[in-house]
Amino acid sequence: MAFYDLLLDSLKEVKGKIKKDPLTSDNVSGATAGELTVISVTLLAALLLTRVNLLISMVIVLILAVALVTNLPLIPKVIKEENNSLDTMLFYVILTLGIVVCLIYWGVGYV
Amino acid sequence: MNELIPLIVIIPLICALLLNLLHGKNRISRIMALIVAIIIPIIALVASNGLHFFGGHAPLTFNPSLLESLPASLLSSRVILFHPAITYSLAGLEKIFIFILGIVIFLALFTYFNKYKKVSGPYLFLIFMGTAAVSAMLLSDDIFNMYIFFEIAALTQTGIILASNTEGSTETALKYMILGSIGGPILLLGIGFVLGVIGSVNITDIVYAIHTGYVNPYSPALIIGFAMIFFGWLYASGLPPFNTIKSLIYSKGTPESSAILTTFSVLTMVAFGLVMFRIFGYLSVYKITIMLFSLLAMVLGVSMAVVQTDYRKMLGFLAVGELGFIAIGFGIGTKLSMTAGLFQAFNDIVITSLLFIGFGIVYYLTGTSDTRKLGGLISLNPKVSIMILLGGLALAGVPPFNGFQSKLMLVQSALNAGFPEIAIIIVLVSIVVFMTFVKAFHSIYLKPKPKDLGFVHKEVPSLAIVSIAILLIICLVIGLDPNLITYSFGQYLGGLI
Repeated sequence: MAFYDLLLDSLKEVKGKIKKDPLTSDNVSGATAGELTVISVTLLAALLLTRVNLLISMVIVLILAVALVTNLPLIPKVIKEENNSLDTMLFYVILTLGIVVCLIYWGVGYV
Repeated sequence: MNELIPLIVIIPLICALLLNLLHGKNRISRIMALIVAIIIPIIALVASNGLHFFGGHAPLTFNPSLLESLPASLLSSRVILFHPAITYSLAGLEKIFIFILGIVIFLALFTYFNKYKKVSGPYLFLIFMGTAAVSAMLLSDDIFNMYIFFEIAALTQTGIILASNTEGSTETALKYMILGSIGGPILLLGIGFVLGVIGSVNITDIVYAIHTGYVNPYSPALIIGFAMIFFGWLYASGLPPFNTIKSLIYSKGTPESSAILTTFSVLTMVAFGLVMFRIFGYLSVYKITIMLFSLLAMVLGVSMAVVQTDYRKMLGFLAVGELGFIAIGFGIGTKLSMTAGLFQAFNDIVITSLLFIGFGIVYYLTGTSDTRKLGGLISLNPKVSIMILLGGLALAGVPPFNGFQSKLMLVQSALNAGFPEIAIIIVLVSIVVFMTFVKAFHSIYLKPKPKDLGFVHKEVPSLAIVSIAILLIICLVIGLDPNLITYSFGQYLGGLI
């Protein structure tokens, strides 16, 4: 029940952080679905690393699982980062450019 | 040589310039715009497959009489294969995409003319300029020529948002332009690196030079070039980190504009995606990088869409999430997955256009896009509501619609390629898309009508209903016989893989 309570608390927090409107089943179902989608897709995507190295992938999946669960609720964080601010957008654009260049330039020799 | 091929670009270009000059002359502008919009898909279908060399400068191998007069040393060299001029290539794949582009433009204009008495010449100019640019990107076999039209398309998209004149559209257009000032030059820099290594911007020449060992395929400059072209592709298609701005521009445009903008984005994504696959498909890092960004687009798109209470924002995020499905087909990189990805691109254009125009009716009637202020609209026009519901089901991948066929094909291709995790993610995300749509549909149409809900207009625009019906018929027909589309895609990809 501990995990369930954690999830329930996080959902209440999600609602509080998204809008100050009365809680509706629409909001709850949306937030729950979003939360579960982020967790499940991230873990499934991490499983793809088994093709590179089984041990590394197991470690990463475990770390990710713990990090995701302990950082609930995730959706308010996603919404906060996916905002309409030009500063945030520019930050992620430049960050991604760096990651893409590094990943492709050095990744060619390893995969 | 096929003289009809350049007309696919030239006709909308001339039309754009004339419509700008004819601003204020409503009747002529309407007739001209609709005629040209219907001519584009007709030319795409009528023109025979083949190549068009601008200025008649074909490679030497295409000219046997000239070839005979050349010295033997030249005949044995690679020079005779190289393309000296810009080349346009038309095959089944380009025909299908240009056809659907023309149909969407026609239906969007049809709806626009029905809603507004006065038409804007500059707005029509932007739409046709964008149409010409996107068609050119699909046809061109020259990466620099593609870049030129990519920039034109980006500028016209900015202009379309500005011309939409909705709340916050100016700020959004400015943000899009600022971000474009990073994405565009980086793409050009990448092309510059490729040109520096190969010495040509013709895509066929580049592919030939790489695959015959004329240059080192793992040359650092070429790899950096790929990284930069890939980044430019992220901007063009609206994959993360450009997903936020892309979903924002979709939500700030008028419904017709959003339908056109999403079509432009998907086709630009397809054009550059195919070029990247042709040139850099041999790199294993190519597949991994595309998979990473497509999964990110899917999860961010749907998780943001599902919590929205504004249906225009919801549609914007869903449209971006759907781009992830297209990209994952490119990322898996098999013939089946690429066919599925391209098929998904076609379906995405049809379905999102349907939904933007469909939900546009709600905005036209009520003047609000906040689902909390809406309700009970099914009683207003049940037929339109049902058509929008069916469009939403097609988006989520429910049989017998086209979305089901392409998503099923994507799942099959992921399983065949040994990626069961991706197959599960595709199913999972499709379920959330379904839920998101049903939630929005319930809020707008099924829940009790709020007492304070007012109406800006009383009548549903009749031509918008016709547009939705046509798009829905396309969804159903393609869903029942996907071979109408996938056969041409399979043939095209058979020559590449």
